[in-house]
Amino acid sequence: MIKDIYTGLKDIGMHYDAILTGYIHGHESLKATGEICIDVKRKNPNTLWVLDPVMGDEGQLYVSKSVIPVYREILKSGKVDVITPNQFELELLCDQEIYDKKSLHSAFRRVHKECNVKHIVVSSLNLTAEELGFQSDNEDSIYCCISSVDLPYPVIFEVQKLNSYFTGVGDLFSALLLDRMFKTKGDIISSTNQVLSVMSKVLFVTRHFAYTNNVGKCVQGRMGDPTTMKECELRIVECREFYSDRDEYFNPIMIR
Amino acid sequence: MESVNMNKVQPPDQQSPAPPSLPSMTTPTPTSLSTSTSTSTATTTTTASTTTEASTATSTSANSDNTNTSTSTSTSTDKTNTDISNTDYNPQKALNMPASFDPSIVQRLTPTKNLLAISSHVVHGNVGNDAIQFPLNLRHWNVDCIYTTNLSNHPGYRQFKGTKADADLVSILYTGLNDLNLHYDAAIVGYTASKENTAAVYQILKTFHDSGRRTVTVLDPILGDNGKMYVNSDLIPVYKDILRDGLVNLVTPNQFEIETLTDMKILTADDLKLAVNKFYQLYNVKNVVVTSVQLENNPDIYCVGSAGDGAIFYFKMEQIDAVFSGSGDFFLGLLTDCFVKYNGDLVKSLKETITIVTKVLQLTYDLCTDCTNTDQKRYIGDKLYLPDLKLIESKEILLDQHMLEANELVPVFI
Repeated sequence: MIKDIYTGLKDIGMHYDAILTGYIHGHESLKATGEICIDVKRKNPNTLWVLDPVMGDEGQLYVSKSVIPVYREILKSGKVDVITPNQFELELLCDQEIYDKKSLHSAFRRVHKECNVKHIVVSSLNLTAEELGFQSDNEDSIYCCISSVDLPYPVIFEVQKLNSYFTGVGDLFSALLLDRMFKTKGDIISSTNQVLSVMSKVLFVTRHFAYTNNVGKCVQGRMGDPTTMKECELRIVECREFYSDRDEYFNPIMIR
Repeated sequence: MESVNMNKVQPPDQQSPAPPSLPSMTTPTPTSLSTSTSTSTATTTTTASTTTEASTATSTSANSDNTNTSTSTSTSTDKTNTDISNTDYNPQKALNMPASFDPSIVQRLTPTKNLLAISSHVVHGNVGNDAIQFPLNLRHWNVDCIYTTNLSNHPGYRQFKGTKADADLVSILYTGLNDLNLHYDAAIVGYTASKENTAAVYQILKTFHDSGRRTVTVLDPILGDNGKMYVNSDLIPVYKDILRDGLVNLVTPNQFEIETLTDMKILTADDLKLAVNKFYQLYNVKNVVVTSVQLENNPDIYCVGSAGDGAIFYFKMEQIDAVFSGSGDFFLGLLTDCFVKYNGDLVKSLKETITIVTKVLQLTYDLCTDCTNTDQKRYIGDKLYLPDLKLIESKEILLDQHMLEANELVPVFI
């Protein structure tokens, strides 16, 4: 089906400046997706390809296990410009656990080398500052981490951890990152910083509406609970005016 | 794709004299790196070399856009109220936003209304739901789409791949939505593709009708155009049931569709009047809009409306010398927005809708005729064919909620 649709698009002479791939459940669709994107890149090497290897989170896989080798295969093509895994997904891609700075470094090295990916942006890293080799006064932090063939060392941003579940955060993150990478012509640090800044505004607004809709009581979104999940859908439409903002709220820190 | 501004990165190891310079690591690139950061780079460099390690995360500003240099990170030390299950939770305090962020912005954001749109989907192009969703997102609607097709593009390209949705898809998806107890302020029904899906639409509209909660429902009984059917005729009785049972607030047939639904031909102004009246006799719908009416020996195109009070009025449409795809779906979406916004005032709604649609079609035409590539131009008869409405390019037009020009449009009552 995916390939059929792509054939249709090709038949009418479509041209794409960028490709974004996200949630794909089975290895067959993923394989087809890979072939399509590689075909687009072959025709136009300047097409920016951002791949979000959506597989799971916090130790839980939510796609078929058979997609893991297919993702590795696709990355080996060397045609993917940016990947945006979370920590768990990065661990799956490089087949190693990440528990400190050293293991993080080696995971990045492997993905760059074996998988030939230019930029890796780990949207959420559940390590402490100490484990990452620096100090922070903040207890409730997660880290967004960039590794790039253009950078000598990974760069992290410290982000406040939110005590609730929001749906679609990763998808919005990847989409915005694609746009910023395109517009900054590949400045991965600035792009990520801008995206994190937009995201913080979107989360601020989403939490605000969740709070006001529940008359003074903020819901804590939980998976599988329809009443609270509804409030934890990102307020994508309300936040329209933020998407072009260029603020850079965060401090890039290099970890050696 | 290689440019990186390493000067903005701050090393955690304060022993190092300054952030590393990386000329060898970066490929020479154009001046894409923002000039606005150059001033703060200097600050960052010097501060970083003197800060203590413990405060590296919070003490420096990497951002010159940020007017307040002391709290530029999101992780300031304000730790109050992080427990959001607390009833005293104050979201403005609980999220550590930088001082440059104005939390009062949430007061200025427009809350959205919810709309369910059931129509076709094409991967490329702006027809069906793809002509409804983006414009209505800009006009403060959260649009939930049920797609009745999954096609690479619309048939106007003379070739396409993909399929219609399974006959039970509409029903299955709506059951899922209903289980979440979602409320819709409005619902739009466009291309339904099959008898089964149209029957599912009947059930959905009935649920809205029986729920006692107000959902404004708008139906475009898509059957065909210019004398040609392009759906299976077994859909017709289902549309008739929907209309007869009073399940929609507004219906938008084109000339061919009202002719089919009333079983009469419209050639003259009298025919038109007769057809509208007959429609009211046969069906139980308050608001009727007949899009694009063309009478015999008359080159003009009219948009005809009636709010069920016996009066029939029309607007003479400005004609653009081209054929468009998706303009009917786009019209349908905008009309629904205006109809809700103006509380069912059909004249006012049509004035604004027609004004916006005309502007967007004109922009689409101008953009396409400006382009130099004449090989790709196609004609239908002697008219230029424009397969894709330029909706993204029309953003400013679509954002305009107070279209003054709309007042210049005057309805003529028959």
